Amino acid sequence: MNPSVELRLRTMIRAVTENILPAIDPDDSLAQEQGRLLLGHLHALLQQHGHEEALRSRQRRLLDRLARDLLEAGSGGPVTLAARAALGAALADSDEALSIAVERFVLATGSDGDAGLREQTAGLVLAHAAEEVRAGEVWFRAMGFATGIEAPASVAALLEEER
Amino acid sequence: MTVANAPPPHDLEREIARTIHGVHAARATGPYRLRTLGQVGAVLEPFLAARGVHAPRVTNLKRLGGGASKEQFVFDLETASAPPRRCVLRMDPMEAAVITSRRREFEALQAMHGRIPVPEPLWVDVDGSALGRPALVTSFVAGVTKPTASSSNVSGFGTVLGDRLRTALSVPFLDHLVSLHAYDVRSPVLASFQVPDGDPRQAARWQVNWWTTVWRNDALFGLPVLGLAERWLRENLPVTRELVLVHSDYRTGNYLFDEARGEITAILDWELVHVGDYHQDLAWIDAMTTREPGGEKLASGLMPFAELCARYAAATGRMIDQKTLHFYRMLAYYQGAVICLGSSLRAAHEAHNHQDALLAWLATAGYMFMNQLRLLLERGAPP
Repeated sequence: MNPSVELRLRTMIRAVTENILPAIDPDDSLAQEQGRLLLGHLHALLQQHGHEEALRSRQRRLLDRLARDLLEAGSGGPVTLAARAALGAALADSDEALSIAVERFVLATGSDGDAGLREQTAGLVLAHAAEEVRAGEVWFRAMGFATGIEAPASVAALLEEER
Repeated sequence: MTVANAPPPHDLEREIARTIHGVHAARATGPYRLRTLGQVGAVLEPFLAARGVHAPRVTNLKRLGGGASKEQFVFDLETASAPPRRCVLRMDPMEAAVITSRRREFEALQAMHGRIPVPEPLWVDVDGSALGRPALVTSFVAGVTKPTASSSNVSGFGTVLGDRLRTALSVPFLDHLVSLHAYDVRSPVLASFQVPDGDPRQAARWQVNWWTTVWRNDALFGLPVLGLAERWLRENLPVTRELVLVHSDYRTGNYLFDEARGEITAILDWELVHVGDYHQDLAWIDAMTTREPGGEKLASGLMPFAELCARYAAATGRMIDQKTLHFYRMLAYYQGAVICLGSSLRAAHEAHNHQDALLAWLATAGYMFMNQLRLLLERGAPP
């Protein structure tokens, strides 16, 4: 059997903790800091291991839903309509391309979007942002930057919400 | 397809635009290689000699940790004509959490030296022609950025000072801010700074254009809430009543203090300084709120924000306008999200920094700023 990723991460954590960090020159503050950061990253990876693809799929579903809701919301002038056409085309594109198209569409509504569209856009984007922050809070909890938003206790619990 | 394809905003301060453009244009080169101490030492002595230092000898050269944007070194400078002195070298990697101009940082330090405690600016290599990368040398100042017994996250986020230090440090923290904001923004010392006096909203517009340009250059993905925030910022540019020199990252974690005496020994990180609205520094201090062990929220870990505003207003006679403050809070959280989820991730992605692991860590702080943006947008501006 191959050693599991989890086992390898645990062995790396032990190596950094017990062998590498004690061997770093205490006067080399950059190397000390980097060593501790590696340890922190390894602990975070251990919590995230096995969930990355499921989280990415969840985020894509949320982004798809936001994009489709925006496409059905109101209308506007030529800047908004051009951004809307680009957004529609981006639905078949990568996560990155779709996210950029959504951001640009939201910005375009500020140029010549109808009042109704602008209002709906704000509501939809803020609801989506809350979900993004909840996921970030759970996924990066080990990094220590608490957002203050209410979120599930674990990545598994976050992913379970959609089942 | 990248966000950079979006139409660029106009009306941006010249030196800032030049610096951002230079980094963007050099993006295809790299990766950035950590400099060895031998390499740094080899260029440092000729650099100092060319600037009139008599027979310079660099000894005890060491790396410094801390910060998230510059390669930093400390060394002892021995010369034939002056007593030895301890110095700090701050050198640009190719990309970082923030892309800034060493020329402006040097000028800002020159302006502040002797007015408030800052490292003495000694020499600058504005274009990296002598040292390989743009860099500046300052005097070394002793002190710590957080209590030695405390823990905090990277870059000083979440530093808890404790009652004694908080009481002692809050006074000079505010005094130095007041002195900074009293500086003549048209001083010839600030040669590379422009004054946004073209129209009453230009100061705010320059800031929005600065950070949206950075986001467009650096973002690896889009964030819908940043689009909504940019829409709001552009539609709500406030009038600036009085232009001051804005530090733009004035917070606990960016000053050194003497732990035993409870005195600030140096205000650090002058790289984002610009001429703008005093509300911007106040809002940034508020954005760096920490929650004490007892649950109390303190601006920059020092005092309740209402108290900070009252003390600032009493010391300066300036009015704190709640709508303007709201705008600059929005900008602060936007800027924080851009630094973390845009520039830090981009620098790590391109391997253009010597602290990629730190920048990838710092990126995750972006969700804190995103959440604050979301809450502000939901709440709306005060009446």
